[in-house]
Amino acid sequence: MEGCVLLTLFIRTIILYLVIFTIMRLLGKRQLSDLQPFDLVLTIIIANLAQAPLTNTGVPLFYGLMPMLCVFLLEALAAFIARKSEKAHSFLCGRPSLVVNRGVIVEEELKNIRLTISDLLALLRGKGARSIGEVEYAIIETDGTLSVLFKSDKRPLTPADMNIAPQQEVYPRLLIDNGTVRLDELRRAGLDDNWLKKPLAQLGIIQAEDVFIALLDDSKTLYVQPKSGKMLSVSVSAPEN
Amino acid sequence: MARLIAIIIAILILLFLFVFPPLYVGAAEKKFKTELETAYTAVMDDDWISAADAYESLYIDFHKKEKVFKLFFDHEDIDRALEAVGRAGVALTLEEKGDFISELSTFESIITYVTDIEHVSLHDVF
Repeated sequence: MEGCVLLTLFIRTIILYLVIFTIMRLLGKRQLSDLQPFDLVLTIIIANLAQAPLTNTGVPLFYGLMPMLCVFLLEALAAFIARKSEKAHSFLCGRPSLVVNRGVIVEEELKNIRLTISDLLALLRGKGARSIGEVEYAIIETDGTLSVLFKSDKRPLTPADMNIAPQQEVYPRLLIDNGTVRLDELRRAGLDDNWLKKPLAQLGIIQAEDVFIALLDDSKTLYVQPKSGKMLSVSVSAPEN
Repeated sequence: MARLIAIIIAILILLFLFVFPPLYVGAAEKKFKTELETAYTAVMDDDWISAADAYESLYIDFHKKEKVFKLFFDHEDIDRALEAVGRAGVALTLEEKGDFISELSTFESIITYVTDIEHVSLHDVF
């Protein structure tokens, strides 16, 4: 009889492990640091829901599975709404808080997010700011991390500071996205779909539909990854706008 | 795509859980109550042979449905119902009218309870 209980627990553990693993993967969060506060709460709820049928074999497995599936569906729904509406996104995920604005600590914002000056200074030190005087802007992002923009005389040296003019970087153009030719991107690069056929042919690709991604970078190199295959590259001559 | 499939599966499981248990338990409860009524009437008329037939039918039915019940209800409740049916069998063998009716009543109240919790009520939600 004891063996049966242990076996029941073993099988239940496997089932719940698979369900939790699937749900967590589908929720799309990989690290604790990626989690919004609400996501963290959901994670804890899911863990607690799994606990009851695991510790008590008298509790039907569905008592744990049903609320877990419900939480998963609600989260999927919330994510869908957040994607569709900026207001809903702000409501569900929060909004970034500007805690230092033009070198001035925004006391009201600190109060709103319940952050003390000491906490802020500690976060700034973590970002390499030795004093508040070095910071132009500081923003607490929705996941709780701090983004810092240093004052111009305190930030790291750039080529512009040295009056060096490096070659202008060009935004890489996504020319084919999952088999679909991005005509708008081609136009912006001063090209058309006929131009694209030649480099693709050089790589042995006849149809754009067979390409997963094609990217044109500033060094006039076209990177192409077929839907089944490795990333290929070919030098091209493109009139870049 | 995987997410969409998972969402569809989750919705199907939830729909199943909302539809199947109440239907199954409702039908089972009706059958049990009919058998219980027959057993009560028979034993009140001191017809122990008919009572034994009704009990046998109830015992077999409940044992058949026990596993499905355990999928959706607290196992302790179902075990208590099983024990009550077992004790009713002993009372039947000993022809103890009071104990037989009492044990079947216990069984009936447990079945009524698990059937009731399958129905949503505002009190239960809050």
